[in-house]
Amino acid sequence: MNNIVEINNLKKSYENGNIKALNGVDLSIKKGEFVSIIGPSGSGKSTLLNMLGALDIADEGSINVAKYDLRSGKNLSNFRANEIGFIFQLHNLIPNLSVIENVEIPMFTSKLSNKERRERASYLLDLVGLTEKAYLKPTQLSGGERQRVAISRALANNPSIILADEPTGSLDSKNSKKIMDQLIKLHVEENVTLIMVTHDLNIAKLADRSIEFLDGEIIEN
Amino acid sequence: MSFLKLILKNPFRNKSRTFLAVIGIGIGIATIVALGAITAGLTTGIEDTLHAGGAELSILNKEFATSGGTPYGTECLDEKWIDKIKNISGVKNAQGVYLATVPIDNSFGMVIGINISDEFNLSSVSMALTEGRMIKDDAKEVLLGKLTLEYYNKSIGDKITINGQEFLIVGVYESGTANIDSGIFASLDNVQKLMDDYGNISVIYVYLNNGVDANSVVEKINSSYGDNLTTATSMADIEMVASQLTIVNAASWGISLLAILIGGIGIINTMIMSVYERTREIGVLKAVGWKSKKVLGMILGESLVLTITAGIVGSIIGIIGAESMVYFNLFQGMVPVYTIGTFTQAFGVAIIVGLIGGFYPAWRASRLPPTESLRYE
Repeated sequence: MNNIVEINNLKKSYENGNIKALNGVDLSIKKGEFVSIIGPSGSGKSTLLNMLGALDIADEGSINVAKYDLRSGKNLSNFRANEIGFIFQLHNLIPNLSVIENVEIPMFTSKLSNKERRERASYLLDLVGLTEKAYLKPTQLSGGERQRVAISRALANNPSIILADEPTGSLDSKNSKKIMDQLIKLHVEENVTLIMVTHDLNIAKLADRSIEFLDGEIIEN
Repeated sequence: MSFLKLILKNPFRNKSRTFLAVIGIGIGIATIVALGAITAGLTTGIEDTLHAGGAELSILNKEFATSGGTPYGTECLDEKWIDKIKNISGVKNAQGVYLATVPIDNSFGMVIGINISDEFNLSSVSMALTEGRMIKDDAKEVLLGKLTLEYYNKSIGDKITINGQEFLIVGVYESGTANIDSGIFASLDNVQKLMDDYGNISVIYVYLNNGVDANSVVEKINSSYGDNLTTATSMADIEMVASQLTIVNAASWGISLLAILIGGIGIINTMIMSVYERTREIGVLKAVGWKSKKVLGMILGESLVLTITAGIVGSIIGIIGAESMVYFNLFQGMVPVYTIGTFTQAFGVAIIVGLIGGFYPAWRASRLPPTESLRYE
């Protein structure tokens, strides 16, 4: 199996080098793998996720994801649009748009027609069981339902990797389980690489592999 | 959902703030439309007066026409000039007319004094007597324009008080030109008496023989009487009037620009606030792959939606304003003229304000780093 993520000696610091968020990280992730990243707050796991999603650029080292050299700083928008699906802890849906319009948002980067966008968004909402709520506003949904909308949005452009930053962090255990079931089902059925930051060790155990961070370094892989 | 629909939806999230921004810029646009319509109305009215009854030329006192005087007043032009003009070859007829703005009942209006004995009849000058009969030269009688009749709510046989004197309404005329139809015809003699201005007129309307070139007659008048008289074939020929309209235009622009400046600041404020509030959302858009220029286009588009809405609202307010001025008779006989140019100007300004006012917030939004935006509380 090919590696979809290839990271060597990655370093990132903030505040003129005083805070070392990543301190020489080496990591490979295979295509279709489900990897969980655990560690205490400030250990560097979210920084790594931001690097993997090209939301931030590393100071040193190399990071290649889905054949994109992310340290070059080139084509990062295209990379995010085509290869990455983000799921945030606080879902970050746009409140004045309907559920289905929120799912369509990433597709504005593609060449799909309005009709094709709407059809794909309907399909994705069907995958997470929210067809009947497609035309409601996010504020009319429960926390778990909003996170399922966020999952649909993450899948909008057929990404090769889903980056999930504590997707169950704001949910109760019942909804957390539902969300994880949904994510694992999509990971299996759509063969999407799933990289997930979590504090919850029970959820981390569901992954194929768990990586533990401390002080900007991988201490267990 | 199309990108356009997204742009159309976003500005109306905070309705009260959007309302205030639209009203702010809308007042500027309303000023442009209302003053533009009034300026165009005044211009058209003056043009109509110059060519009243199909006259090819108007002759005015040179001193009055070029030095800030007005043909609507006393001691404008001695009526002895009428015969001199009639004697110029190519001239079919010359009609001395007295134009006076005077109190009429409880308002002000234009009285047009004409010489009844001077082969004058309404049909020869493209006007029609629609009711009643023609005035007699020696009686205190008047003809009311159709619009004047409606305005004063009079009918034939009623009396009307002009400059403190009562006149009998004997007929109604119609020319199809609002400015003329908003006037009152009386005999020249009566108007001169009303104004205590015997022997004087305001303007001489010149009618030419068929096939005669107006320019050749103008040249003859200029060469013979150029020291005293000036000819006008269009409003622009009358420097005084043109300069007054220039002042109205300049005032219109001044007021509009001030209103637009204030409105423009309102737009910038609205858009900056909107970008602030949506920082996290802009971070999400970047995270899902939106390019900076797409974010810039969206915010700029939203700014344009605001100002174009303001253009529509402002145009409606401007039309209501101009019509109100007519309703309350602030400009006697003036009918606002709405030209494509006025609305092009109004919407042009709205779009420019939208682009300029929206650019900084849009640029700012497009430059927001996604990681910081996503952390924004």
